[in-house]
Amino acid sequence: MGPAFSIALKDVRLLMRDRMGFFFTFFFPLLIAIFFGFVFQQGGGPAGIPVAVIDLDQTPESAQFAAKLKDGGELAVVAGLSQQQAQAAVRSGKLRAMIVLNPGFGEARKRPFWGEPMHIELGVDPSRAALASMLNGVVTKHAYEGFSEMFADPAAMRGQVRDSMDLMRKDNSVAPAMRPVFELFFRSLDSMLGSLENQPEQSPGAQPPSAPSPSGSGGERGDQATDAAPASGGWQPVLITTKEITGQKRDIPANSFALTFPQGIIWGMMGCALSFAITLVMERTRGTLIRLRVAPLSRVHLLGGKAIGCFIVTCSVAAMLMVVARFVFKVQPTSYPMLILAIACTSLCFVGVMMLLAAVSKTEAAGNGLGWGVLLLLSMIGGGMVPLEFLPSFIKSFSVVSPIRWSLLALEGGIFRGSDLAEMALPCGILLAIGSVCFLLGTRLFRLD
Amino acid sequence: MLRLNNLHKRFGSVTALDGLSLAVPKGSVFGLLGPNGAGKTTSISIAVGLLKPDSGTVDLDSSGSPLDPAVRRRIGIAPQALALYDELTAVENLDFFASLYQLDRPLRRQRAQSLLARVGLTDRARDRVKEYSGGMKRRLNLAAALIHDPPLVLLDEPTAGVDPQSRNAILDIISSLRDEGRTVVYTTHYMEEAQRICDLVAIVDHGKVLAQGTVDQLIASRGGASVVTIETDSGHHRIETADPVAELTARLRSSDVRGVRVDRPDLESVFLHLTGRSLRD
Repeated sequence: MGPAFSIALKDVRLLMRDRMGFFFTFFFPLLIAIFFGFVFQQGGGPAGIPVAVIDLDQTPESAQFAAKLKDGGELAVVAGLSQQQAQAAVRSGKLRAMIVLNPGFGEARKRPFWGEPMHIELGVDPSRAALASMLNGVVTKHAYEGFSEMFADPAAMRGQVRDSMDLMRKDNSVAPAMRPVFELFFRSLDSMLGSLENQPEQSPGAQPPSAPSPSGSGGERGDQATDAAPASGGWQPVLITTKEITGQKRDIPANSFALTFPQGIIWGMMGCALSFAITLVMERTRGTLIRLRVAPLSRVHLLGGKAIGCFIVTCSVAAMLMVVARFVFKVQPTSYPMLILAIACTSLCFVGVMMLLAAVSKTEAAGNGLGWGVLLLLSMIGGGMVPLEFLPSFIKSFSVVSPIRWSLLALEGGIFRGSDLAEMALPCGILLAIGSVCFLLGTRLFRLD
Repeated sequence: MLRLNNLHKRFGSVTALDGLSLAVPKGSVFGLLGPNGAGKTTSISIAVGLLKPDSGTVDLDSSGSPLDPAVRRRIGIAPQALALYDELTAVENLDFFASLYQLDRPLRRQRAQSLLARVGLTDRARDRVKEYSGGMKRRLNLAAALIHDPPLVLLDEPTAGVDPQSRNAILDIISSLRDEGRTVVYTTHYMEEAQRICDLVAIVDHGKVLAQGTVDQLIASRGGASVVTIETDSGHHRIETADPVAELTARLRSSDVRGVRVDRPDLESVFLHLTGRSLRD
């Protein structure tokens, strides 16, 4: 295979020397991936983390809290699901998490100083530890914002303090030794709120008195709640617990770049395939093919050399883009072996496409026109331009013939879908089949003379 | 060395070769002379195995057909189209073509350097071919044909479109190839070039060999008479003669001769005589 490798290396060298070709092969796909990555990140993505809020309490307080979560901007709240439906949605990856407002939420919110705290349960995939922490922070923030509003109204607050004092007096579980302590605390609080209530009205813009913090800052309180520590002693008006919902698959990209880099890789590979198809046509039109044919080479050497060159460059483009994706845009592939498999199969498919394009193109101009025409069409129906989900159903049904569809599926399988070998078999098998058919047809149709 | 036996080749309704036969002796420069479309390039293409004849055979040193890669290894070709990669340097082009013959790297380098010196491109060896003039590309095209040291070299219009300096250099190189014992088959429609360097010439038209032999033989047998033009007080006198020297000697005795011109027959005359039209028609 020495001469075939010589041909491959010569073609790689020629591609590197052609500034325009080099740009469109290596940098244009990178620009596409980065540009659309930022576009999706800024405006195309969801407004917040998609979560379900399940209100099991059904009180005005719980409804008010659910509305706060919805209006907060951090979450894209889906309401109206049952707990089971929400759980299934999280498991399948359609939603990132669920937030359950348990029964008693409204009652606990009304008397924060005594009795059971407001119980909020988070349901999150355990593999999404960072998401769980973030969600905890968001829920804690909204819960304590409610208290802050409460403290800003001394009259309402005094009512809640007195309610809590009555509850404490009736609570037989409180140790007799502790009763005077709690009596003193509630009376002092009531007296303080009374003096605030009697003060003249504040000037506009003045800050309300800050909420008391019985056991430290709100942040520390949130951490305790996250740990789901039982209310044993200290003041704990909110209890946030986390329930693990193990997902079936993690087929949601970590960020928008995980979606756009597979597309960039495919655009790069399309560019390579077209460049190599045209170099093969050029060998014929410019006469160098005569010298190659007079050399003691078989047809296999000659066309094999082109195929090897194309395979090397398509794989290099994919590798370069993935290095940038990994280290600059924090796209962490779920499986490197599956990603390598996807890149290899996609490259082989495009090598076949290259050979067929070269065979049917008589001139460079014809190759260029035909190549871009066909590849753009395949890209359009295969989800290479607009994601398949947004395409009409009749186009979706055509997409099965497009190698772009299967390439995207295979690459995404290795990048964020977490596909296993069995799941990769279909797209990879189809890519290899398309590549083989195109390659065999191309080598058969390619005229050396 | 090379025999083309009764070759026939048609492209659709066009007959490119119509029973063409040639015998090229070893160590000679063999000129294939004819107008465009005569069948010269088709003959060369069949001789190196690029095309299959409809009928007829090609034999290289009794070793077989050039369709066999082992036989093709003994042939070098400089196609009429400049078969070079413009984005590569001269050295890279030669190195690549040598690698197709699986020569090892030191030998490839040595051959490339030696050939670049031979065609006068050592100073431009590291420049990309796209920066070369037409004549330089032609010389490199010739060097590429010689990179694997073939005993048979086929040159298809190697001086087409080059400046006089490069043309002279190329013709000198072709002569030196013969001196090294190589066989050169050379197509051209420049008769003066053929007369200058060819040991044997075949005149081809419409896919057939009309005549072949040494230049002198062809001129003597098919060139017709020399023409002596004498200018006297009474005007110009045009005399066709087989012996222009004797004719001139006799005429110069007359006192009113003001000037003379002798037009000897050449290959153009041979072609005109054979076909009734000029080589460049």
